Amino acid sequence: MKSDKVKLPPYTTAGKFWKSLLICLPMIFITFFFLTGGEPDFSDTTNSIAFILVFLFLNFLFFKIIYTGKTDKFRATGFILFAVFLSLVFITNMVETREGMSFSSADLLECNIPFCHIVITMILIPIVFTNSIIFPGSILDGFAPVSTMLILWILASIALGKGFCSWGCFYGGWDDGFSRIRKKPLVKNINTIFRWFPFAVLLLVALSAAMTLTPTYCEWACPFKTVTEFEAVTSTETLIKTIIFLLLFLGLVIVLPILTKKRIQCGMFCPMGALTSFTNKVNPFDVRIDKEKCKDCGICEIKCPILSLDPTSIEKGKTHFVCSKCGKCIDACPNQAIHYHIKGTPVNKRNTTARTLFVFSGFLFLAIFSGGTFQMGIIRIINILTTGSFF
Amino acid sequence: MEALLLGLGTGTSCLLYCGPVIVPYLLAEGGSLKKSFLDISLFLGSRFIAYMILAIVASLMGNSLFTTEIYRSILTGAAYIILSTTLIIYSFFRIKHVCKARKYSDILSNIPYKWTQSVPVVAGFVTGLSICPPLLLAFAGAASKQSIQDSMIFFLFFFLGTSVYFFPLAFLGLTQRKNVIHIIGKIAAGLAGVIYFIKGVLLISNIT
Ligand code: SF4
Ligand code: SF4
Repeated sequence: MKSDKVKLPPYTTAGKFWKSLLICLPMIFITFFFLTGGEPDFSDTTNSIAFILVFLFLNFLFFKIIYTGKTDKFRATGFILFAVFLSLVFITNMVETREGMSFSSADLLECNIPFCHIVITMILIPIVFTNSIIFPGSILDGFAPVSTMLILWILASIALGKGFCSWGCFYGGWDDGFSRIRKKPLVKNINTIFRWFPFAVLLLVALSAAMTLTPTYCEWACPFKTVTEFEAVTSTETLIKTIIFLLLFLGLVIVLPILTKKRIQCGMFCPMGALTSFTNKVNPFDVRIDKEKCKDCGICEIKCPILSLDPTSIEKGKTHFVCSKCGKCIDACPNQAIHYHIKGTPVNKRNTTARTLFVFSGFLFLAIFSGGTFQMGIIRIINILTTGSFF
Repeated sequence: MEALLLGLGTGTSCLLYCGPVIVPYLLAEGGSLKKSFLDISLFLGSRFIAYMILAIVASLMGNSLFTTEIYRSILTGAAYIILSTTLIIYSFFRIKHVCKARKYSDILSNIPYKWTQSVPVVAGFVTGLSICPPLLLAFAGAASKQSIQDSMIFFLFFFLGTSVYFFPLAFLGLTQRKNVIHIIGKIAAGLAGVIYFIKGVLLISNIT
């Protein structure tokens, strides 16, 4: 039974300054610990400035999430900047250590390629069949070793489910950012069949990697090579690969997200997104719709950047299992009918605890993943401004 | 016996090589166990014909065939392009879901549904002819035989050894949520088509 006028309940700690600050205290301590590595050292001015800026920035964002009761805007600010800073730091690292964005066959042979979480989609079957990791990165040490990345991904998946794709992923901020450029989409009503594309890509990537024992997606189809590192162009084959990377980045990460206001790469192509969707099944959090309050206006469906809502899912009061828990629909619903929810608890109730627990976990991952990158990025920016060189 | 053991030993690797072609098709078709077994039998049957051709060629030309540029590049490349065309057309065949694609789907829907049966036939034949490590070993073994018959028998046993790994794939067709799996299978078949097209073009232009 739907009432015409819904009296909106106060949501979370919105407007309650001291209570919000209290909730933020654990985040303040944890980020302080992680950003200083447990050993605060303020002897170097540049490092200290970077630390203070990042510490304040991250905690400001989290405070706003708690205090305003709005999630997406503040999450996206950190998430998008993380992606941009990661590329800045990555590329400048490559320039520093290898004098360019490309890696050579020698780097491949010496297993000097940083491991990225998307590779997980390709290494699982070969691990079972051949007991080996088919990626030219180092297992335990170096920049982004395989073991650390696997552990982080498993932890993030357990804690956030596919929330990883909106809170933890290194690259997701790119198409999230471009999808926000236009106020209204030029291309509307995208068929929800496209939400199955990443699963087809995952199927092929997993099979082809198992078949060739090489990380095929990395070698042929990763758009983010454009903003990280790629194989040196030494033959027609590597030239074709480079053209593919550029075209995919241009199409899936820039142009289509701008035109559709959807996260096309993350929601309609990325095999890691597909694999991570399954972790939504084991994760304790989900996003639910209170059918008592919902007026079937469809605003959430339009707003969802990865096609996770449609009339059927709204009717069922659930998001689709590809939901990345970004919070956009929750913030957009004019009737406050959507909310973060802990599985097994009552649905028709905006649950402050569920929201606080989820945004805390999500933001913690974002802060831990991005903190070091932000600091390094700021140091590089200060260096270029003061000395004319990044290093 | 040697050929049977070779087939059994390298069969999983065969399965992985042919997986990207046959798995999306089986998922997209769904259907009963009987239908899936029929599809796999068609796939294996045409692969068998390809092997028999290879057996004859191996005994006539010896091991040198696989090392010739013509075979490695032009023939395999052309085979890949035929396979890719088949897969891409199949992925657009009778789609009811995407409005823009329906236009092409309507043109294709004039073709009788039986047409889709040719997908496993083409796929089996083409993958049977394409170079993969198990096939290279089998070819070397067959080429060392004295007569065409011996060479064919060698390939027959190699085929039997590898084939046992394919039949369990029939159960893929029984997956739940048929509509979703059907969509994913169709998309994957189309994407596999694109990959094989690029591979084919690269081979023909002798880049790889
Ligand atoms: S935006 Fe809110 S009221 Fe509108 S359909 Fe979605 S859940 Fe219902
Ligand atoms: S359903 Fe809501 S929370 Fe989930 S991805 Fe879509 S907008 Fe984000």
